[in-house]
Amino acid sequence: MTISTPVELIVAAPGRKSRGLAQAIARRIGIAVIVIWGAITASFLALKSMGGDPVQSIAGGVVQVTPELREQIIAKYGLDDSFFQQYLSYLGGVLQGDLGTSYALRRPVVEAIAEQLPNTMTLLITATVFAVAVAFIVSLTTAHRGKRVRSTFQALESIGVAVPAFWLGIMLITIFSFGLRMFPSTGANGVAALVLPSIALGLPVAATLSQVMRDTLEKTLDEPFIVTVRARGAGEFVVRVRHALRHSLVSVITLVGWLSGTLIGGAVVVEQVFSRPGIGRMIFSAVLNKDMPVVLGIVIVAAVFYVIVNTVIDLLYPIIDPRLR
Amino acid sequence: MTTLALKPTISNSIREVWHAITRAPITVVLSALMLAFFVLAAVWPNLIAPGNPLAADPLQTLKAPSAAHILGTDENGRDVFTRIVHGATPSLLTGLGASALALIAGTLLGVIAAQGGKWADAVVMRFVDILLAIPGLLLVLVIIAVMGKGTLNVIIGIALFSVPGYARLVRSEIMVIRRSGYVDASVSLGIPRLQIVMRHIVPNAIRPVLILATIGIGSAIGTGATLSFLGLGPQPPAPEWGAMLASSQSYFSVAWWAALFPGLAITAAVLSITVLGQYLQRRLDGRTA
Repeated sequence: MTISTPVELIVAAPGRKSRGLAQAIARRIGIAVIVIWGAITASFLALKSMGGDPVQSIAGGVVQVTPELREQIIAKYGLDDSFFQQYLSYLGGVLQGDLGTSYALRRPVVEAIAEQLPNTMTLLITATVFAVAVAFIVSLTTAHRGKRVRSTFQALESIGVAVPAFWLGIMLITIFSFGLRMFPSTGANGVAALVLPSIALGLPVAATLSQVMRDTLEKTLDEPFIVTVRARGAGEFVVRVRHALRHSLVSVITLVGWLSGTLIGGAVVVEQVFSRPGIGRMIFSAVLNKDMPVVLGIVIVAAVFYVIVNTVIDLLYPIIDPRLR
Repeated sequence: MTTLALKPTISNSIREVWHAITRAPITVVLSALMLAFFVLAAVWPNLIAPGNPLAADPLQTLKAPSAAHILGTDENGRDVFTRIVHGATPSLLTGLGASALALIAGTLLGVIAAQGGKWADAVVMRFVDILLAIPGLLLVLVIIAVMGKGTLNVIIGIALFSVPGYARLVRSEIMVIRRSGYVDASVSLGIPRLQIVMRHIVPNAIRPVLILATIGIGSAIGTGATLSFLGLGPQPPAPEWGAMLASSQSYFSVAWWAALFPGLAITAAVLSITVLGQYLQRRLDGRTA
């Protein structure tokens, strides 16, 4: 059997465990660096191949770009440098924590992102906690609970997956903001403004998660070792939470890693619907404005975030599922 | 377990599918009817709604549902029902196209990664990691920024960001299956590696992938509508569910029908595909389990 993942590296050499572990971690960091470099390079290439005049994009509201202004802009942003030079200087800047200057906002990208990031992170965290909590509770209580319970919750989950987040957002605003006046419809001031966007963002995720979780939970509950656990006199709660849940976590955790990317995308839409300031709205308008430094900056931040989450997940696999050891 | 005894043939499969349809529960029958309606609407919209989806009537703006306009009219006096029926084509095309593209590409990548050896695995998985590290919707935004707005580019974008999910799932499933007793048994029986992969590993790994693809058709329709809602898909005045929602959003408090029904259409289309797909999946699973 070939050794092909860091997880296997950790567990393939029990004789020299600490060395294997150090190697695996070093390898994982190497992979993380490659991925981040790849993400920067790919988006740089993609955005460089965009049509249009970058000078015009930078000049923004200025209708007529005079030759003097054009020269100024070209000099300031290094637009007459060779393609490779522009790439290298960008890459070098990123490594020093400089993501460049926004064309449209006329300020450092790092500054603009730092200003908007807390809003988006708050939204992502509350939506994730909401989604995971709902999925755990629903799947643990409804797995193997008879046909009626199953089909009822399957129907609810299917609806939850099917409802588009932006439509859900519009409905929530109509009912709870304009109708009942319980929560504000826009902005990011306080906890109340967080409730509706978190539900709009988290509910489809919760439905997907609990579908997959119940599916694997039920598969696990049918396995012979569960009979053994029951034969030892374990109660239903212990069987489900301590034994079955652990087995189904591998597939769920693979999905959580995937969903952490999906949620950031979802934030673009939800922030748009709720007119909520944040990274999502920023990148959407940046793409429309061809504001390349902002787009690249947010891609890098998102990639780093994603890489961290998934590195942790990779290291968790053998802890959760001893069969992978 | 019974796969050794049962050799599924094509006629057998058709009979199984027919069997599944005729003995289906009511939700599945309803979903099938709903999907049939949307498919018919997508293929032959004029049969269901012969009117012109672009025909504006300044005297009939934001009219509530009535006998003349069963789902009301929008802010330009266009018939909402006609527009929803004609909007089925881009939605279904997006869902099917993106899901099929992603399933094929993702499964291929997953199998190559798991079975192609150390270097193939490293290269494929780094490519997948890079794709995955860029948030899905942003990847579509970048594709659209480079290639322009429109349905085809939306399909390519959605497929591209869905690929990593399939590739990773296929790979991790194969990793677990490879350690299973029946694969060990096949290896010790001296069965060729390719045959083990095709006969034992792929069929067992493909089940959760098909579940994901089922949800995938639905979510691709949802994502497609989302991109239209953001103004990046088919351009106005073309009838498209997400775009209809975007334009009627500001009239919601005075004309709920103009935003409610396109949203219901998206939900119903996604829901019917999901319910139907999961049901057929369960039936087909039951045959091989």
